[in-house]
Amino acid sequence: MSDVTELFHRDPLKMTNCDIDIIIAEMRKKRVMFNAAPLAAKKAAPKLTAGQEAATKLSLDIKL
Amino acid sequence: MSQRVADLTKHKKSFENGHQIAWDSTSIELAQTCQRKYYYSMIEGLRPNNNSVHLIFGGLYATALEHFYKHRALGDDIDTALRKVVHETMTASWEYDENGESVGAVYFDDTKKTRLTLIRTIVWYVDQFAEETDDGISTYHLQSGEPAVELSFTLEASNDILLCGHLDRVVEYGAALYVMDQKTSGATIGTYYFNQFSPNNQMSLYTWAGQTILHSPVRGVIIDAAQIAVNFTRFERGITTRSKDQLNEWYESALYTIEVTRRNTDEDFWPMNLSACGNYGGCPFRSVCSSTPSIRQNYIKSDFAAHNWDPLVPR
Repeated sequence: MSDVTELFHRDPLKMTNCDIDIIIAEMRKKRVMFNAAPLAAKKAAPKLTAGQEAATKLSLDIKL
Repeated sequence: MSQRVADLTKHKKSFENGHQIAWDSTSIELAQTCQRKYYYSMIEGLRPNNNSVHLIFGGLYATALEHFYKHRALGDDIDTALRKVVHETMTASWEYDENGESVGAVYFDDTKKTRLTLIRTIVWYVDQFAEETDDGISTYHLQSGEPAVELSFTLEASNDILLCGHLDRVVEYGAALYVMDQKTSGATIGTYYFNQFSPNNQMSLYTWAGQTILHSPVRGVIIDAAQIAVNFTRFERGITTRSKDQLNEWYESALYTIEVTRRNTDEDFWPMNLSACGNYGGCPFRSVCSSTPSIRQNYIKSDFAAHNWDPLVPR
């Protein structure tokens, strides 16, 4: 059981400032991770090969 | 005048001889939606046995942010104010028995709105919005120097009617003043979500009250809405404004509703508005209204509890 999970099951009137700071730090860590997730996913996405990239492009060879 | 209605409401400060004299946006909304719903909620004073998790979560969240800004305005730095309100909210969401002995955490009957996501949402909100800058949003200070937070108001309208409510915070944004309000939702927040606030009784009353209390042209309400999901909270800020003509129109409509309700109170007659039964996932009194009148009291006894909602009792 993590510190924070244990703290959420503890009587808040018996908590210290240090306990509250642990909870806040954990919530801030979750926020940083959440905000970083899209960038991490983008970095982890496999790059297209030259052939795949060419296949996804629209043909603009329009004759008027 | 119905003696029965007078007896039912005699313990409420906002009622006099059965007539509601002090109206907040909730009671105006109830009366406009359905007179029967108003009757069950305000006259009989009923609420469903299962207190809505959305009301509990939204109430604790709004109180936390209101207190946060009050601590800030009184000189606390952001981290100190945040620590105070997280501790307060942890305590407010913990149950104690009549002897003050610890019972346990308040149960949130929802997958998204839980005690943990409540604390997370407070911390994330503060990290995103708490820093006040000269070109951003800042708490307005009254002529006395006091911060314009936690402003309960009771203002005299016409015909011995009082309009009352509570402004969490008034802010300066650009050259204008706005009331600030917090909302939470389990759904994605976009244009469609913010459309519900215009027209809207609560936002019009807040704007009207802000103008009357501050003697300043409060332009409207800034709504900080939080989308609560299992693993994240996402915030969107929306602004709803009211022109003078729009406010006059709302005011006339509100007084008309109050007048109609007074007439119905005299006659103890509470017609149902059948077109509103399905709104917002269904009226909580639908099971009562859909049963035959002779057995309605059975439903009320089994599914509802008394609540002490009284607009004139300060929060």
